[in-house]
Amino acid sequence: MKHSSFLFIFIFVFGALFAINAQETASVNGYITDSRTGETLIMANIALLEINRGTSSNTSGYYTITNIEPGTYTLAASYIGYRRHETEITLEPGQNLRLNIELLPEGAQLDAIVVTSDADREEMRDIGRAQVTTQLIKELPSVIEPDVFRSVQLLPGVKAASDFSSGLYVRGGSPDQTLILLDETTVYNPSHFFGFFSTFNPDAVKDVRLYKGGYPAEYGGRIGSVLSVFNKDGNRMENRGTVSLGLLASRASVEGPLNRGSWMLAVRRSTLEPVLSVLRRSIDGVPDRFYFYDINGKLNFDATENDRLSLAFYAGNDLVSIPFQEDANIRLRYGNQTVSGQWRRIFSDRLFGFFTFTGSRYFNRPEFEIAGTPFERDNDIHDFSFKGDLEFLPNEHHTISAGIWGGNITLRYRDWFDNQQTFNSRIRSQYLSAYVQNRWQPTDRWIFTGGVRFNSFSEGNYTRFDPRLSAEYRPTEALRFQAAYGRYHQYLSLITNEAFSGFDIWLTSDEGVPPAYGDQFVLGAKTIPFSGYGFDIELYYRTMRDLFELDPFVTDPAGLDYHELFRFGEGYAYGVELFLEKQTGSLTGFVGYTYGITRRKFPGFNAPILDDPTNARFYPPKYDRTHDVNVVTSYRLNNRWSANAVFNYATGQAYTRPLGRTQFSNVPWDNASRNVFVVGNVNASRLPSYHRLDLSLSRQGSFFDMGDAEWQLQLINVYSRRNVWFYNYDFDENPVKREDVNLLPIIPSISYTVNF
Amino acid sequence: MNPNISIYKFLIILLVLAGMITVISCETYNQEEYEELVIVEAYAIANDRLPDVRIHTTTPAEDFFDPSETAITGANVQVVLLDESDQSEKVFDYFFSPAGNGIYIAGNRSHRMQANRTYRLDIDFNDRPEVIRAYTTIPDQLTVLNEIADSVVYQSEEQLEIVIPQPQNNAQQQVYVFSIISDEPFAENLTPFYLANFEDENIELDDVLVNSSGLINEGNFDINPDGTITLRFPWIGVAFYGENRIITGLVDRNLSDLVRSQEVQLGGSTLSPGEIPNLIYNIEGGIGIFGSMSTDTVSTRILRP
Repeated sequence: MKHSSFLFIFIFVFGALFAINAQETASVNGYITDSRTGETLIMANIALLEINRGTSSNTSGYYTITNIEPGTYTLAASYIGYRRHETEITLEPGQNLRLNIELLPEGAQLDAIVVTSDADREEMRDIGRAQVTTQLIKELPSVIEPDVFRSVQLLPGVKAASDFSSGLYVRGGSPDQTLILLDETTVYNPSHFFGFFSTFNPDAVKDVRLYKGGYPAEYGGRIGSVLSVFNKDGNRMENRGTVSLGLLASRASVEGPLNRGSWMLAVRRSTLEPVLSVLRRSIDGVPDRFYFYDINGKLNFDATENDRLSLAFYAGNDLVSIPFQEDANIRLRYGNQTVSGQWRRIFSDRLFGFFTFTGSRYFNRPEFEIAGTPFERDNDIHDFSFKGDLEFLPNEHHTISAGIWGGNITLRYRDWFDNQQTFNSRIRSQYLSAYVQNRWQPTDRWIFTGGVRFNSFSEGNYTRFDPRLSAEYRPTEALRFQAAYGRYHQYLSLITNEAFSGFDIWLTSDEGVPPAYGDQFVLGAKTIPFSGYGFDIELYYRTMRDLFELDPFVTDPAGLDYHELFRFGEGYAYGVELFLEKQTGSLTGFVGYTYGITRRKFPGFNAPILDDPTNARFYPPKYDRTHDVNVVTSYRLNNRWSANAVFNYATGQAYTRPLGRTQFSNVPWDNASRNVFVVGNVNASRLPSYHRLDLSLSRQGSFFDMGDAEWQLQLINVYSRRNVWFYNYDFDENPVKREDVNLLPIIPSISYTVNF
Repeated sequence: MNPNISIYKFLIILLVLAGMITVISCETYNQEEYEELVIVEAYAIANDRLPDVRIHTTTPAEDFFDPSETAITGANVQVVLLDESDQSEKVFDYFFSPAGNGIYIAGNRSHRMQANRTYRLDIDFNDRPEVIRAYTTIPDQLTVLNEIADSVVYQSEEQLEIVIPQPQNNAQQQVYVFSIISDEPFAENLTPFYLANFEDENIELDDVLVNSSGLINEGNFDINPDGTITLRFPWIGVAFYGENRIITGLVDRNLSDLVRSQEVQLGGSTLSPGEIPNLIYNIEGGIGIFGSMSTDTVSTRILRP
């Protein structure tokens, strides 16, 4: 079965090579950009209306349409948030027309106060894919800072663990099952401020794309999903900047043209020091130091008409130092650095390539010292890689993609207790992936995409093959049916504390620790039921096998072999997502609903108490929320004022209700009684439902005629719903007293942004 | 057919399909009801006499907890010394203690628990259906080999070191625990960290009369060229200046499993808050602990810096 399916894919992919059309046809290609800034637009739609041939721009903003019969055509280009563009072109036999397209943003005219569209919007996504615009990210009410991940958490199928966590739980998967890419580079801990929000600066971000499931062969390494973030290239037309001052953090960005290129720099830093200084005078335990910062930068250079070079970097750091008691303090420093250099080349009208060198570093250094006894941990990841991707269009029916991604990853995990090194693990592994994929469009109505991805990981000597298949049927212009299947492997596992991401540790496969893997099945339909509306529905089912994660009962790793640190289990998830979007008019927004189930099972965990402990049962992890509804609305009152609202309702998270209790009073080496709960099914109870309403009000103006300015007033948790995060138990009371640990109360916030 | 009508029909079909899936796939994963369980608690110490066995029941979590109300009488208790082929070599009968509180004591007061030997605990009841069995292998006898300093300065460079032989049974790494008992447990003798907690009313003196390091894997310590192990007593365990007795313990797997799972049960590990597992018990037919350890005691005086 396995060999025949690969043979089918091989023929499907390479059969296209023999169908190259040899006639004297023409082609048109180029870059599609924002007319005001020169930023390339990813996945914009470009079509020749008379022959109903179209394509999308790739992640470099490049498009190409080949095998066109000579003649005169209307070329139409569209992209969400931009006015539709049409132009007439005439193609001679054998001509390769280079046509760069510039789109005008909607609302760019002074008297435009509503979002309009000249034609039905065609921004319908591929299966499992969702997009969040940076405009939405900045407009939505947010705690402390506008945040990419918190905006993504509003999409159906994506859940948050708590108000304090920006971690992405996509279709029942844990955060480590989502590959996070910034300009093609892996980011290992994309969080600041104890996981409160992500490392992605909205001022620097151009495109945020989430593949929730069934993602294509060009991506790999995670069994769940992919979040791909691209930073801006920089304004190619003029120098521009933004400064934004907030209560607890501020940011600034500048960008501008170079001779044949552009540049961009964005910085962000917390501004908590004055607040902490005041608090320290009267409250104990206030941090001595507590800050975070991040810097994003990019340089672009057009070496030739067909060659573009770019260099991008990111650096971010969090530091907190708290003397939490006499003779006891904690210090934590963690952060990420990434760098990527890319070369994009148009080889011909049929062949486009991009080649990227990436480097990524994540470090994490928690230190405690209690009563003269230090505890230290050191976790480092260094990941250097090379990626090469090619897109080849042999004819109008096929698009063949192929690529490789190879690199070297080094993970180091060291523990010191009382100045003695107690654990030292260093894993250096080479990894190599290669994929080939063919997108075949035999008719206007059908699209088939098939591919295979090969993975290898040298630690443990693992090689795996992942087939990917998807199909799309378009019975009408306003309706698409989609189906996808894929197998996915993952060689990394994240050890994280939901309450606090500062201690995150990544561990890898090795001998005795095989990679996790899973299969995904997705069915969906995407429609435009009425003009200006979009409605999507997707059903998914996922398996998770050979999951490996740190055994929670391993409290001391010293002296253990590497594989003894882990527990190995399995899981599954399935659900239905509905997404209704209103895209035009004064009132825009979306409603997303998810019905989702996810379960896990690990031997020795959640076994019936008197049974053989290997008889483990499936249980829902805490973040399993059966129903999840998000309503996001934006209303433009006039050309100065706009309002945004976000309402979220979700089933209460799973928790374990203790059934019984007892006490062990005679443990020989101490005189304290050890209180113990007896439980039945783990996580079989539900916290109260979660719901929260956030509002924001924005006023546009100007800053001393030097630039545009915006005041934003926000109210988080308008009716101060005290959502429960978890229960704590106080054994000093008898009977034991259960106490709520609540999430965020009502929080007002204000920020001021100047664009110059 | 009007394309819009086609779309509506498809949408309705899809929504009905999605609704059917959500209804059909409703998984039942219910909370169980409380069931009373029998708990056994017995700790054997090498070279010490047969351990007392405490037998009681669990209490519903929301009820008032009174250990005296949960004691079980009417249990038939035996501890059996096993030979190398796991056959019974010697049987020790137990009797309900006049002190009550669910405690059963051995009739034989002269037997000493033998290191590296396996004992089995058997319990059944006259008026309950449970049959309980548990095993423990007493760890190798622990003997401190080095001369301990008469005094050490608190948090000085010269940490208190204890040298012990490597245990005979070294198939798996061993687990140690340090306890320190103050012979001068007065508030004015508290070390800074514990003094701050005492002043903040987080602890009382009784809470730290016996202070423990917690379980520490053998892998944390150096194995010397002569095959001995050097253990360094961590300063965090010292609650009082003055005369202190330091007890080094080597625990068996049952104790190690119970204690480390108990420390994890209510948080502090990778489990999500609110995700509560049962402890690791290693008891058949009930829950609790039949564990063992070996110990040795040294004394020193902790001086103020």
